Amino acid sequence: MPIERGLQYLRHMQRVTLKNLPMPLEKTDKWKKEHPDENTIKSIMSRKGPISRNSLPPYGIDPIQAEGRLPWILTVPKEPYYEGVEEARQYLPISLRTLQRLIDLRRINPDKPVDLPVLCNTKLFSIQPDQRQFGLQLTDEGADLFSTPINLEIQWVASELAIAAIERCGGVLTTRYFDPISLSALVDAKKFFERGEPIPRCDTPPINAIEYYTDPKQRGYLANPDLIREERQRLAQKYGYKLPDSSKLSPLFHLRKDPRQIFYGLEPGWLINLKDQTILKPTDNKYQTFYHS
Amino acid sequence: MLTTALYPRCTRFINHFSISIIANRSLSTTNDTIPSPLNDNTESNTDINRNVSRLPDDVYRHFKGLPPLEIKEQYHTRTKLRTLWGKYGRKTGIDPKLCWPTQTEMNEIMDDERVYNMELNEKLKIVKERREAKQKEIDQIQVKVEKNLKNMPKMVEDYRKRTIERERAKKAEVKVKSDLAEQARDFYGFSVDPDDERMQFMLLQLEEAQKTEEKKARKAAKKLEAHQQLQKLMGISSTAEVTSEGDAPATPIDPLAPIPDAKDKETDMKLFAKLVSERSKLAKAASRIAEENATGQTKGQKKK
Repeated sequence: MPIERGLQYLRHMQRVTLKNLPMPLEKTDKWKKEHPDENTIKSIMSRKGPISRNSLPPYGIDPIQAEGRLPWILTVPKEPYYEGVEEARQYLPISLRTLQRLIDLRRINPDKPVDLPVLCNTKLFSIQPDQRQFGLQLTDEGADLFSTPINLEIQWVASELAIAAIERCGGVLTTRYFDPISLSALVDAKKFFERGEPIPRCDTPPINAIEYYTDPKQRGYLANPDLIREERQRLAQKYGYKLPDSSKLSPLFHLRKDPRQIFYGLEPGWLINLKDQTILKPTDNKYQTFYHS
Repeated sequence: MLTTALYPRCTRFINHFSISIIANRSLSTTNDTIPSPLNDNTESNTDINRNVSRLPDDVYRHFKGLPPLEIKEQYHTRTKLRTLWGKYGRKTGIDPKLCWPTQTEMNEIMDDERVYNMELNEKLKIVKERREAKQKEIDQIQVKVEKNLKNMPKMVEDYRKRTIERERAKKAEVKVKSDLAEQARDFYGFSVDPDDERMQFMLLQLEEAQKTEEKKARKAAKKLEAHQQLQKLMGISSTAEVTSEGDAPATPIDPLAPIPDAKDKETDMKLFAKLVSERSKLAKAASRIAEENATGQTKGQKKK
Protein backbone atom coordinates (compact mmCIF):
# COMPACT_ATOMS: atom_id res chain seq x y z
CA MET A 1 0.00 0.00 0.00
CA PRO A 2 1.57 3.29 -1.03
CA ILE A 3 0.40 5.26 2.00
CA GLU A 4 1.76 2.68 4.39
CA ARG A 5 5.10 2.66 2.63
CA GLY A 6 5.35 6.42 2.88
CA LEU A 7 4.61 6.35 6.57
CA GLN A 8 7.31 3.71 7.06
CA TYR A 9 9.88 5.84 5.29
CA LEU A 10 8.98 8.68 7.55
CA ARG A 11 9.52 6.52 10.59
CA HIS A 12 12.81 4.95 9.62
CA MET A 13 14.70 7.50 7.52
CA GLN A 14 16.60 10.52 8.75
CA ARG A 15 15.75 12.78 5.87
CA VAL A 16 13.17 12.30 3.21
CA THR A 17 13.79 14.01 -0.13
CA LEU A 18 12.92 13.33 -3.70
CA LYS A 19 16.33 11.87 -4.35
CA ASN A 20 16.33 9.57 -1.34
CA LEU A 21 13.09 7.90 -2.18
CA PRO A 22 13.33 4.78 -4.36
CA MET A 23 12.06 5.35 -7.84
CA PRO A 24 9.55 3.20 -9.68
CA LEU A 25 11.12 0.83 -12.18
CA GLU A 26 9.90 2.72 -15.18
CA LYS A 27 11.90 5.83 -14.42
CA THR A 28 15.35 4.27 -13.96
CA ASP A 29 17.96 4.64 -16.69
CA LYS A 30 18.37 0.90 -17.03
CA TRP A 31 14.75 0.40 -17.96
CA LYS A 32 14.81 3.35 -20.33
CA LYS A 33 17.70 1.88 -22.29
CA GLU A 34 15.88 -1.37 -22.83
CA HIS A 35 12.60 0.30 -23.74
CA PRO A 36 13.48 3.37 -25.85
CA ASP A 37 11.09 6.10 -26.66
CA GLU A 38 9.50 6.70 -30.02
CA ASN A 39 11.55 9.83 -30.57
CA THR A 40 14.82 8.13 -29.66
CA ILE A 41 14.04 5.34 -32.12
CA LYS A 42 13.42 7.83 -34.88
CA SER A 43 16.67 9.64 -34.17
CA ILE A 44 18.66 6.38 -34.31
CA MET A 45 17.09 4.91 -37.42
CA SER A 46 18.00 5.90 -40.94
CA ARG A 47 15.83 8.25 -42.91
CA LYS A 48 15.94 6.18 -46.08
CA GLY A 49 15.09 2.64 -47.06
CA PRO A 50 11.92 0.61 -46.99
CA ILE A 51 11.55 0.83 -43.21
CA SER A 52 11.30 4.59 -43.15
CA ARG A 53 9.07 4.70 -46.20
CA ASN A 54 6.54 2.28 -44.76
CA SER A 55 7.01 -0.20 -47.56
CA LEU A 56 7.98 -3.29 -45.64
CA PRO A 57 6.42 -6.64 -46.38
CA PRO A 58 3.33 -7.42 -44.40
CA TYR A 59 3.22 -8.86 -40.94
CA GLY A 60 4.65 -12.36 -40.68
CA ILE A 61 7.62 -11.96 -43.02
CA ASP A 62 11.18 -11.45 -41.81
CA PRO A 63 12.20 -8.00 -43.13
CA ILE A 64 15.90 -8.85 -43.06
CA GLN A 65 15.51 -11.95 -45.20
CA ALA A 66 13.06 -10.21 -47.48
CA GLU A 67 15.63 -7.50 -48.32
CA GLY A 68 13.00 -4.84 -48.47
CA ARG A 69 10.72 -6.52 -51.00
CA LEU A 70 8.09 -9.19 -51.04
CA PRO A 71 9.22 -12.77 -51.59
CA TRP A 72 8.69 -13.99 -55.11
CA ILE A 73 5.85 -16.30 -54.24
CA LEU A 74 3.83 -13.44 -52.82
CA THR A 75 4.26 -11.03 -55.70
CA VAL A 76 1.61 -12.88 -57.69
CA PRO A 77 -1.82 -12.57 -56.09
CA LYS A 78 -3.74 -15.64 -55.15
CA GLU A 79 -7.04 -16.00 -56.94
CA PRO A 80 -8.48 -19.36 -56.07
CA TYR A 81 -11.23 -19.15 -58.64
CA TYR A 82 -8.56 -19.99 -61.25
CA GLU A 83 -7.90 -23.33 -59.64
CA GLY A 84 -8.58 -25.89 -62.36
CA VAL A 85 -7.31 -23.99 -65.38
CA GLU A 86 -4.38 -26.28 -66.20
CA GLU A 87 -6.57 -29.32 -66.49
CA ALA A 88 -9.73 -27.81 -67.95
CA ARG A 89 -10.99 -28.85 -71.35
CA GLN A 90 -11.44 -26.24 -74.05
CA TYR A 91 -14.06 -26.24 -76.75
CA LEU A 92 -14.09 -23.78 -79.65
CA PRO A 93 -17.43 -22.08 -80.15
CA ILE A 94 -19.60 -22.44 -83.22
CA SER A 95 -22.91 -20.64 -83.33
CA LEU A 96 -26.12 -21.59 -85.08
CA ARG A 97 -25.68 -18.48 -87.16
CA THR A 98 -22.40 -19.67 -88.70
CA LEU A 99 -23.93 -23.07 -89.32
CA GLN A 100 -26.84 -21.56 -91.19
CA ARG A 101 -24.47 -19.35 -93.11
CA LEU A 102 -22.31 -22.28 -94.17
CA ILE A 103 -25.36 -24.18 -95.30
CA ASP A 104 -26.64 -21.23 -97.33
CA LEU A 105 -23.29 -20.74 -98.98
CA ARG A 106 -23.20 -24.45 -99.80
CA ARG A 107 -20.04 -25.20 -97.89
CA ILE A 108 -21.83 -27.86 -95.90
CA ASN A 109 -24.30 -30.37 -97.25
CA PRO A 110 -27.21 -30.77 -94.83
CA ASP A 111 -28.44 -33.90 -96.56
CA LYS A 112 -25.52 -35.82 -95.11
CA PRO A 113 -24.64 -36.02 -91.45
CA VAL A 114 -22.58 -33.08 -90.27
CA ASP A 115 -19.60 -34.13 -88.27
CA LEU A 116 -16.33 -32.75 -86.89
CA PRO A 117 -14.26 -33.59 -90.02
CA VAL A 118 -16.92 -32.00 -92.20
CA LEU A 119 -16.73 -28.79 -90.20
CA CYS A 120 -12.95 -28.83 -90.08
CA ASN A 121 -12.65 -29.29 -93.83
CA THR A 122 -14.09 -25.83 -94.27
CA LYS A 123 -10.82 -24.58 -92.73
CA LEU A 124 -12.62 -22.10 -90.55
CA PHE A 125 -11.73 -23.75 -87.25
CA SER A 126 -8.20 -24.58 -86.16
CA ILE A 127 -8.42 -27.11 -83.38
CA GLN A 128 -5.14 -27.96 -81.63
CA PRO A 129 -5.26 -31.13 -79.55
CA ASP A 130 -1.96 -30.16 -77.91
CA GLN A 131 -3.56 -27.19 -76.24
CA ARG A 132 -6.19 -29.20 -74.40
CA GLN A 133 -8.81 -28.46 -77.03
CA PHE A 134 -11.33 -31.22 -77.31
CA GLY A 135 -13.59 -30.12 -80.12
CA LEU A 136 -16.41 -27.70 -80.78
CA GLN A 137 -19.30 -26.41 -78.72
CA LEU A 138 -22.63 -25.03 -79.85
CA THR A 139 -23.75 -21.56 -78.79
CA ASP A 140 -27.04 -19.77 -78.72
CA GLU A 141 -26.53 -17.05 -81.26
CA GLY A 142 -28.89 -17.29 -84.21
CA ALA A 143 -31.53 -19.53 -82.73
CA ASP A 144 -34.22 -17.53 -84.50
CA LEU A 145 -32.58 -17.82 -87.90
CA PHE A 146 -31.88 -21.51 -87.94
CA SER A 147 -34.22 -23.35 -90.27
CA THR A 148 -32.74 -26.50 -91.74
CA PRO A 149 -33.02 -30.06 -90.53
CA ILE A 150 -29.57 -31.36 -89.84
CA ASN A 151 -27.90 -34.35 -88.21
CA LEU A 152 -25.31 -32.70 -86.04
CA GLU A 153 -22.64 -34.18 -83.86
CA ILE A 154 -20.89 -31.83 -81.53
CA GLN A 155 -18.71 -32.12 -78.44
CA TRP A 156 -20.42 -29.84 -75.96
CA VAL A 157 -23.66 -27.92 -75.62
CA ALA A 158 -24.21 -25.49 -72.79
CA SER A 159 -27.71 -24.15 -73.40
CA GLU A 160 -31.09 -25.71 -73.96
CA LEU A 161 -32.04 -23.07 -76.52
CA ALA A 162 -29.56 -24.40 -79.05
CA ILE A 163 -30.88 -27.94 -78.72
CA ALA A 164 -34.46 -26.69 -79.04
CA ALA A 165 -33.63 -24.63 -82.11
CA ILE A 166 -32.24 -27.65 -83.94
CA GLU A 167 -35.02 -30.00 -82.95
CA ARG A 168 -37.71 -27.55 -83.87
CA CYS A 169 -36.64 -27.70 -87.52
CA GLY A 170 -36.63 -31.47 -87.42
CA GLY A 171 -32.94 -32.06 -86.81
CA VAL A 172 -31.06 -34.37 -84.52
CA LEU A 173 -28.30 -33.53 -82.08
CA THR A 174 -25.83 -35.74 -80.26
CA THR A 175 -22.88 -34.87 -78.09
CA ARG A 176 -19.81 -37.02 -78.41
CA TYR A 177 -16.41 -37.25 -76.81
CA PHE A 178 -13.17 -37.64 -78.78
CA ASP A 179 -9.69 -38.45 -77.52
CA PRO A 180 -6.76 -36.22 -78.38
CA ILE A 181 -5.32 -39.01 -80.53
CA SER A 182 -8.52 -39.52 -82.44
CA LEU A 183 -9.01 -35.76 -82.61
CA SER A 184 -5.77 -35.39 -84.52
CA ALA A 185 -7.11 -37.93 -86.98
CA LEU A 186 -10.41 -36.10 -87.40
CA VAL A 187 -9.20 -32.55 -87.62
CA ASP A 188 -7.16 -33.12 -90.77
CA ALA A 189 -8.40 -36.33 -92.30
CA LYS A 190 -6.37 -36.21 -95.47
CA LYS A 191 -3.12 -35.74 -93.60
CA PHE A 192 -4.00 -38.60 -91.32
CA PHE A 193 -4.59 -41.00 -94.20
CA GLU A 194 -1.31 -39.99 -95.77
CA ARG A 195 0.46 -41.01 -92.58
CA GLY A 196 -0.44 -44.62 -93.21
CA GLU A 197 -1.70 -45.53 -89.74
CA PRO A 198 -4.71 -47.65 -88.98
CA ILE A 199 -7.76 -45.84 -87.68
CA PRO A 200 -7.47 -45.45 -83.88
CA ARG A 201 -9.97 -46.61 -81.33
CA CYS A 202 -11.70 -43.91 -79.32
CA ASP A 203 -11.41 -44.04 -75.53
CA THR A 204 -14.22 -43.58 -73.04
CA PRO A 205 -14.55 -40.12 -71.54
CA PRO A 206 -12.80 -39.24 -68.25
CA ILE A 207 -14.61 -39.40 -64.94
CA ASN A 208 -15.20 -35.63 -65.05
CA ALA A 209 -17.23 -35.92 -68.19
CA ILE A 210 -19.14 -39.14 -67.78
CA GLU A 211 -22.01 -37.41 -66.04
CA TYR A 212 -22.36 -35.07 -68.97
CA TYR A 213 -22.24 -37.71 -71.69
CA THR A 214 -24.69 -40.03 -69.95
CA ASP A 215 -27.20 -37.22 -69.45
CA PRO A 216 -30.25 -37.34 -71.74
CA LYS A 217 -30.77 -33.61 -71.26
CA GLN A 218 -27.50 -32.92 -73.07
CA ARG A 219 -28.20 -35.68 -75.61
CA GLY A 220 -25.09 -37.60 -74.66
CA TYR A 221 -24.01 -40.53 -76.79
CA LEU A 222 -23.93 -42.89 -73.83
CA ALA A 223 -27.42 -42.03 -72.65
CA ASN A 224 -30.53 -44.14 -72.86
CA PRO A 225 -32.38 -43.43 -76.12
CA ASP A 226 -35.77 -43.81 -74.44
CA LEU A 227 -34.94 -41.04 -72.00
CA ILE A 228 -33.77 -38.89 -74.90
CA ARG A 229 -37.14 -39.20 -76.54
CA GLU A 230 -38.82 -38.05 -73.34
CA GLU A 231 -36.52 -35.07 -73.12
CA ARG A 232 -37.29 -34.09 -76.71
CA GLN A 233 -40.98 -33.90 -75.90
CA ARG A 234 -40.30 -32.03 -72.69
CA LEU A 235 -38.32 -29.40 -74.57
CA ALA A 236 -41.03 -29.12 -77.17
CA GLN A 237 -43.56 -28.39 -74.47
CA LYS A 238 -41.28 -25.92 -72.74
CA TYR A 239 -40.47 -23.83 -75.79
CA GLY A 240 -43.84 -24.21 -77.46
CA TYR A 241 -43.23 -25.97 -80.74
CA LYS A 242 -44.43 -29.23 -82.19
CA LEU A 243 -42.01 -32.04 -82.84
CA PRO A 244 -42.09 -32.97 -86.52
CA ASP A 245 -42.41 -36.61 -87.48
CA SER A 246 -39.20 -38.51 -87.43
CA SER A 247 -40.36 -41.13 -89.89
CA LYS A 248 -40.33 -38.71 -92.81
CA LEU A 249 -36.65 -38.03 -92.47
CA SER A 250 -34.11 -39.76 -94.66
CA PRO A 251 -32.32 -42.78 -93.21
CA LEU A 252 -29.14 -40.73 -92.93
CA PHE A 253 -30.66 -38.91 -90.00
CA HIS A 254 -30.76 -42.07 -87.98
CA LEU A 255 -27.04 -42.69 -88.40
CA ARG A 256 -25.19 -42.90 -85.15
CA LYS A 257 -21.68 -43.85 -84.37
CA ASP A 258 -20.48 -46.64 -82.18
CA PRO A 259 -18.75 -45.41 -79.03
CA ARG A 260 -15.43 -46.64 -80.42
CA GLN A 261 -15.96 -45.39 -83.96
CA ILE A 262 -14.58 -42.17 -85.32
CA PHE A 263 -15.59 -41.95 -88.98
CA TYR A 264 -18.94 -42.76 -90.41
CA GLY A 265 -18.77 -46.11 -92.18
CA LEU A 266 -15.18 -46.88 -91.21
CA GLU A 267 -14.21 -49.08 -88.32
CA PRO A 268 -11.13 -48.80 -86.14
CA GLY A 269 -8.23 -50.97 -87.24
CA TRP A 270 -8.72 -50.47 -90.97
CA LEU A 271 -6.01 -49.12 -93.24
CA ILE A 272 -7.02 -46.75 -95.98
CA ASN A 273 -5.09 -45.65 -99.03
CA LEU A 274 -6.41 -42.69 -100.93
CA LYS A 275 -4.14 -43.15 -103.92
CA ASP A 276 -5.03 -46.75 -104.55
CA GLN A 277 -8.58 -46.29 -103.22
CA THR A 278 -8.37 -49.43 -101.15
CA ILE A 279 -9.24 -50.49 -97.63
CA LEU A 280 -7.20 -53.12 -95.83
CA LYS A 281 -8.51 -54.94 -92.80
CA PRO A 282 -6.62 -57.03 -90.25
CA THR A 283 -7.46 -60.71 -90.13
CA ASP A 284 -5.79 -61.74 -86.90
CA ASN A 285 -8.22 -62.51 -84.08
CA LYS A 286 -6.29 -60.56 -81.48
CA TYR A 287 -6.31 -57.41 -83.52
CA GLN A 288 -9.95 -57.73 -84.36
CA THR A 289 -11.04 -58.21 -80.78
CA PHE A 290 -8.95 -55.31 -79.62
CA TYR A 291 -10.17 -52.87 -82.20
CA HIS A 292 -13.79 -53.87 -82.01
CA SER A 293 -14.13 -54.03 -78.22
CA MET B 1 11.22 -34.85 -148.47
CA LEU B 2 10.52 -35.60 -144.90
CA THR B 3 10.92 -39.18 -143.90
CA THR B 4 9.03 -41.07 -141.24
CA ALA B 5 12.20 -41.66 -139.30
CA LEU B 6 12.58 -39.13 -136.57
CA TYR B 7 15.99 -37.60 -136.22
CA PRO B 8 17.29 -37.72 -132.70
CA ARG B 9 17.97 -34.04 -132.73
CA CYS B 10 14.44 -33.08 -133.52
CA THR B 11 12.85 -35.25 -130.84
CA ARG B 12 12.79 -32.42 -128.36
CA PHE B 13 10.49 -30.34 -130.45
CA ILE B 14 8.47 -33.11 -131.89
CA ASN B 15 7.54 -34.57 -128.50
CA HIS B 16 5.61 -31.47 -127.75
CA PHE B 17 3.70 -31.55 -131.00
CA SER B 18 0.43 -33.32 -131.10
CA ILE B 19 0.34 -36.67 -132.81
CA SER B 20 -1.91 -35.57 -135.68
CA ILE B 21 0.66 -33.12 -137.08
CA ILE B 22 3.28 -35.82 -137.35
CA ALA B 23 0.86 -37.99 -139.27
CA ASN B 24 -0.05 -35.22 -141.74
CA ARG B 25 3.55 -34.52 -142.41
CA SER B 26 4.27 -38.04 -143.32
CA LEU B 27 1.13 -38.26 -145.45
CA SER B 28 1.91 -35.20 -147.45
CA THR B 29 5.24 -36.38 -148.67
CA THR B 30 5.41 -40.12 -149.17
CA ASN B 31 3.18 -43.07 -149.68
CA ASP B 32 4.75 -45.14 -146.94
CA THR B 33 2.79 -46.61 -144.07
CA ILE B 34 1.58 -44.17 -141.49
CA PRO B 35 3.42 -44.60 -138.28
CA SER B 36 1.20 -45.01 -135.27
CA PRO B 37 3.05 -43.96 -132.17
CA LEU B 38 0.03 -45.01 -130.05
CA ASN B 39 0.58 -48.69 -130.81
CA ASP B 40 4.30 -48.34 -130.52
CA ASN B 41 5.17 -49.97 -127.23
CA THR B 42 8.75 -50.62 -128.14
CA GLU B 43 11.73 -49.63 -126.17
CA SER B 44 12.06 -46.40 -128.04
CA ASN B 45 8.96 -45.01 -126.49
CA THR B 46 9.91 -45.87 -122.93
CA ASP B 47 13.51 -44.84 -123.35
CA ILE B 48 12.50 -41.41 -124.42
CA ASN B 49 13.23 -38.87 -121.77
CA ARG B 50 10.10 -36.83 -121.34
CA ASN B 51 11.58 -34.62 -118.69
CA VAL B 52 12.16 -31.35 -120.37
CA SER B 53 12.03 -29.07 -117.38
CA ARG B 54 15.70 -29.18 -116.57
CA LEU B 55 14.81 -30.05 -113.00
CA PRO B 56 16.65 -32.76 -111.14
CA ASP B 57 15.02 -36.13 -111.06
CA ASP B 58 13.71 -36.29 -107.53
CA VAL B 59 12.24 -32.83 -107.70
CA TYR B 60 10.51 -33.68 -110.94
CA ARG B 61 9.07 -36.82 -109.45
CA HIS B 62 7.87 -34.99 -106.40
CA PHE B 63 6.26 -32.41 -108.59
CA LYS B 64 4.41 -35.00 -110.55
CA GLY B 65 3.36 -36.98 -107.51
CA LEU B 66 5.36 -40.05 -108.29
CA PRO B 67 7.14 -42.11 -105.68
CA PRO B 68 10.93 -41.79 -105.45
CA LEU B 69 13.03 -44.35 -107.28
CA GLU B 70 15.44 -45.04 -104.47
CA ILE B 71 14.67 -44.88 -100.81
CA LYS B 72 17.62 -43.68 -98.81
CA GLU B 73 18.88 -45.56 -95.80
CA GLN B 74 17.74 -42.81 -93.50
CA TYR B 75 14.18 -43.42 -94.62
CA HIS B 76 14.11 -47.05 -93.64
CA THR B 77 12.29 -46.32 -90.38
CA ARG B 78 8.77 -47.57 -90.02
CA THR B 79 7.06 -44.20 -89.76
CA LYS B 80 8.67 -42.87 -92.92
CA LEU B 81 7.91 -46.01 -94.89
CA ARG B 82 4.34 -45.80 -93.74
CA THR B 83 4.07 -42.25 -94.99
CA LEU B 84 5.46 -43.28 -98.35
CA TRP B 85 2.95 -46.05 -98.61
CA GLY B 86 0.17 -43.71 -97.55
CA LYS B 87 1.05 -41.10 -100.13
CA TYR B 88 2.03 -43.15 -103.17
CA GLY B 89 0.32 -46.44 -102.72
CA ARG B 90 1.23 -49.73 -104.27
CA LYS B 91 3.80 -48.37 -106.66
CA THR B 92 6.36 -47.96 -103.94
CA GLY B 93 6.46 -51.67 -103.42
CA ILE B 94 6.25 -51.39 -99.64
CA ASP B 95 4.45 -54.13 -97.77
CA PRO B 96 1.40 -52.72 -95.91
CA LYS B 97 2.13 -55.08 -93.02
CA LEU B 98 4.42 -52.40 -91.67
CA CYS B 99 1.53 -50.09 -90.91
CA TRP B 100 0.03 -52.18 -88.13
CA PRO B 101 1.82 -52.81 -84.82
CA THR B 102 3.64 -56.12 -84.38
CA GLN B 103 2.41 -58.93 -82.17
CA THR B 104 4.61 -58.02 -79.21
CA GLU B 105 3.65 -54.38 -79.52
CA MET B 106 0.02 -55.36 -79.62
CA ASN B 107 0.38 -57.29 -76.37
CA GLU B 108 1.98 -54.26 -74.77
CA ILE B 109 -0.78 -52.02 -75.99
CA MET B 110 -3.45 -54.29 -74.60
CA ASP B 111 -1.73 -54.43 -71.22
CA ASP B 112 -1.37 -50.66 -71.15
CA GLU B 113 -5.01 -50.12 -71.93
CA ARG B 114 -6.04 -52.49 -69.20
CA VAL B 115 -3.89 -50.73 -66.62
CA TYR B 116 -4.28 -47.08 -67.51
CA ASN B 117 -7.75 -46.85 -68.99
CA MET B 118 -10.70 -47.98 -66.91
CA GLU B 119 -13.68 -49.57 -68.51
CA LEU B 120 -16.99 -47.78 -68.74
CA ASN B 121 -18.62 -49.93 -66.07
CA GLU B 122 -16.02 -49.07 -63.49
CA LYS B 123 -16.22 -45.38 -64.27
CA LEU B 124 -19.97 -45.39 -63.96
CA LYS B 125 -19.67 -47.15 -60.62
CA ILE B 126 -17.27 -44.55 -59.30
CA VAL B 127 -19.54 -41.73 -60.40
CA LYS B 128 -22.49 -43.38 -58.70
CA GLU B 129 -20.58 -43.91 -55.47
CA ARG B 130 -19.53 -40.29 -55.31
CA ARG B 131 -23.05 -39.10 -55.89
CA GLU B 132 -24.42 -41.39 -53.20
CA ALA B 133 -21.81 -40.37 -50.67
CA LYS B 134 -22.71 -36.73 -51.18
CA GLN B 135 -26.38 -37.49 -50.77
CA LYS B 136 -25.67 -39.42 -47.60
CA GLU B 137 -23.91 -36.50 -46.01
CA ILE B 138 -26.77 -34.19 -46.87
CA ASP B 139 -29.29 -36.63 -45.42
CA GLN B 140 -27.37 -36.96 -42.18
CA ILE B 141 -27.28 -33.24 -41.75
CA GLN B 142 -30.98 -32.97 -42.55
CA VAL B 143 -31.86 -35.45 -39.81
CA LYS B 144 -29.89 -33.45 -37.28
CA VAL B 145 -31.50 -30.24 -38.37
CA GLU B 146 -35.00 -31.61 -38.07
CA LYS B 147 -34.23 -32.94 -34.61
CA ASN B 148 -32.91 -29.66 -33.40
CA LEU B 149 -35.71 -27.64 -34.89
CA LYS B 150 -38.16 -29.32 -32.54
CA ASN B 151 -36.14 -28.19 -29.55
CA MET B 152 -35.68 -24.68 -30.89
CA PRO B 153 -38.22 -22.75 -28.77
CA LYS B 154 -37.01 -24.48 -25.64
CA MET B 155 -33.40 -23.70 -26.38
CA VAL B 156 -34.20 -20.08 -27.09
CA GLU B 157 -35.99 -19.66 -23.78
CA ASP B 158 -33.20 -21.36 -21.90
CA TYR B 159 -30.66 -19.10 -23.50
CA ARG B 160 -32.61 -16.03 -22.54
CA LYS B 161 -32.94 -17.15 -18.97
CA ARG B 162 -29.28 -17.88 -18.76
CA THR B 163 -28.34 -14.44 -20.02
CA ILE B 164 -30.65 -12.73 -17.55
CA GLU B 165 -29.25 -14.76 -14.67
CA ARG B 166 -25.72 -14.01 -15.70
CA GLU B 167 -26.35 -10.29 -15.79
CA ARG B 168 -28.03 -10.38 -12.45
CA ALA B 169 -25.16 -12.33 -10.97
CA LYS B 170 -22.66 -9.80 -12.26
CA LYS B 171 -24.62 -6.93 -10.84
CA ALA B 172 -24.95 -8.76 -7.54
CA GLU B 173 -21.22 -9.36 -7.44
CA VAL B 174 -20.52 -5.68 -7.94
CA LYS B 175 -23.08 -4.72 -5.36
CA VAL B 176 -21.83 -7.12 -2.74
CA LYS B 177 -18.24 -6.05 -3.15
CA SER B 178 -19.07 -2.38 -2.98
CA ASP B 179 -21.21 -2.94 0.13
CA LEU B 180 -18.42 -4.80 1.86
CA ALA B 181 -15.94 -2.09 0.95
CA GLU B 182 -18.27 0.55 2.38
CA GLN B 183 -18.75 -1.45 5.56
CA ALA B 184 -15.02 -1.80 6.01
CA ARG B 185 -14.61 1.92 5.44
CA ASP B 186 -17.18 2.71 8.06
CA PHE B 187 -15.62 0.20 10.41
CA TYR B 188 -12.02 1.35 10.14
CA GLY B 189 -12.37 4.96 9.12
CA PHE B 190 -10.26 4.76 5.95
CA SER B 191 -10.47 2.80 2.66
CA VAL B 192 -9.28 -0.75 2.98
CA ASP B 193 -7.99 -3.03 0.20
CA PRO B 194 -9.96 -6.22 -0.30
CA ASP B 195 -6.78 -8.27 -0.23
CA ASP B 196 -5.66 -6.93 3.07
CA GLU B 197 -5.82 -8.81 6.31
CA ARG B 198 -8.16 -6.33 7.93
CA MET B 199 -10.96 -7.19 5.51
CA GLN B 200 -10.65 -10.84 6.39
CA PHE B 201 -10.61 -9.91 10.05
CA MET B 202 -13.76 -7.91 9.60
CA LEU B 203 -15.45 -10.67 7.62
CA LEU B 204 -14.69 -13.16 10.35
CA GLN B 205 -16.25 -10.84 12.90
CA LEU B 206 -19.32 -10.51 10.71
CA GLU B 207 -19.57 -14.25 10.34
CA GLU B 208 -19.37 -14.75 14.07
CA ALA B 209 -22.03 -12.14 14.58
CA GLN B 210 -24.26 -13.86 12.02
CA LYS B 211 -23.78 -17.22 13.67
CA THR B 212 -24.72 -15.90 17.09
CA GLU B 213 -27.78 -14.30 15.52
CA GLU B 214 -28.84 -17.53 13.90
CA LYS B 215 -28.38 -19.45 17.16
CA LYS B 216 -30.52 -16.98 18.99
CA ALA B 217 -33.15 -17.06 16.26
CA ARG B 218 -33.26 -20.85 16.42
CA LYS B 219 -33.57 -20.78 20.19
CA ALA B 220 -36.35 -18.24 19.93
CA ALA B 221 -38.14 -20.35 17.33
CA LYS B 222 -37.89 -23.40 19.56
CA LYS B 223 -39.20 -21.45 22.48
CA LEU B 224 -42.12 -20.24 20.39
CA GLU B 225 -43.01 -23.74 19.33
CA ALA B 226 -42.86 -25.06 22.89
CA HIS B 227 -44.98 -22.13 24.04
CA GLN B 228 -47.59 -22.79 21.36
CA GLN B 229 -47.84 -26.45 22.27
CA LEU B 230 -48.25 -25.59 25.93
CA GLN B 231 -50.96 -23.10 25.11
CA LYS B 232 -52.79 -25.62 22.98
CA LEU B 233 -52.81 -28.04 25.86
CA MET B 234 -53.83 -25.30 28.29
CA GLY B 235 -56.43 -23.52 26.18
CA ILE B 236 -57.10 -20.96 23.43
CA SER B 237 -57.56 -18.04 25.85
CA SER B 238 -53.99 -16.85 25.85
CA THR B 239 -53.75 -15.87 22.16
CA ALA B 240 -52.93 -12.27 23.01
CA GLU B 241 -50.03 -13.32 25.20
CA VAL B 242 -48.46 -15.10 22.24
CA THR B 243 -47.94 -11.89 20.38
CA SER B 244 -46.48 -10.06 23.37
CA GLU B 245 -44.25 -12.94 24.26
CA GLY B 246 -43.17 -13.15 20.63
CA ASP B 247 -41.76 -9.56 20.82
CA ALA B 248 -39.84 -9.97 24.09
CA PRO B 249 -37.10 -12.39 23.10
CA ALA B 250 -36.15 -10.14 20.18
CA THR B 251 -32.37 -9.92 19.94
CA PRO B 252 -30.52 -6.65 20.56
CA ILE B 253 -29.41 -5.13 17.26
CA ASP B 254 -25.66 -5.50 16.75
CA PRO B 255 -24.12 -2.21 15.63
CA LEU B 256 -21.58 -4.08 13.52
CA ALA B 257 -24.14 -6.26 11.81
CA PRO B 258 -25.23 -5.06 8.36
CA ILE B 259 -28.72 -3.78 7.82
CA PRO B 260 -30.36 -6.47 5.77
CA ASP B 261 -32.55 -5.64 2.83
CA ALA B 262 -33.82 -9.07 3.46
CA LYS B 263 -34.95 -10.58 0.21
CA ASP B 264 -32.74 -8.75 -2.23
CA LYS B 265 -29.67 -9.30 -0.15
CA GLU B 266 -30.27 -12.98 0.14
CA THR B 267 -30.80 -13.41 -3.56
CA ASP B 268 -27.79 -11.22 -4.33
CA MET B 269 -25.57 -13.24 -2.09
CA LYS B 270 -26.91 -16.43 -3.52
CA LEU B 271 -26.21 -15.32 -7.07
CA PHE B 272 -22.75 -14.22 -6.05
CA ALA B 273 -22.19 -17.58 -4.45
CA LYS B 274 -23.35 -19.27 -7.62
CA LEU B 275 -20.87 -17.30 -9.73
CA VAL B 276 -18.06 -18.12 -7.37
CA SER B 277 -18.96 -21.79 -7.39
CA GLU B 278 -19.07 -21.85 -11.19
CA ARG B 279 -15.70 -20.26 -11.45
CA SER B 280 -14.28 -22.64 -8.89
CA LYS B 281 -15.74 -25.56 -10.80
CA LEU B 282 -14.11 -24.40 -14.00
CA ALA B 283 -10.85 -23.91 -12.18
CA LYS B 284 -11.05 -27.38 -10.72
CA ALA B 285 -11.78 -28.94 -14.09
CA ALA B 286 -8.90 -27.05 -15.69
CA SER B 287 -6.56 -28.13 -12.97
CA ARG B 288 -7.67 -31.73 -13.38
CA ILE B 289 -6.99 -31.63 -17.13
CA ALA B 290 -3.60 -30.08 -16.52
CA GLU B 291 -2.77 -32.81 -14.05
CA GLU B 292 -3.80 -35.50 -16.50
CA ASN B 293 -1.64 -34.01 -19.23
CA ALA B 294 1.26 -33.76 -16.88
CA THR B 295 0.88 -37.38 -15.81
CA GLY B 296 0.63 -38.47 -19.41
CA GLN B 297 3.82 -36.66 -20.28
CA THR B 298 5.63 -38.10 -17.32
CA LYS B 299 4.45 -41.57 -18.28
CA GLY B 300 5.73 -41.09 -21.79
CA GLN B 301 9.05 -39.94 -20.48
CA LYS B 302 9.26 -42.89 -18.18
CA LYS B 303 8.59 -45.32 -21.01
CA LYS B 304 11.43 -43.81 -22.99
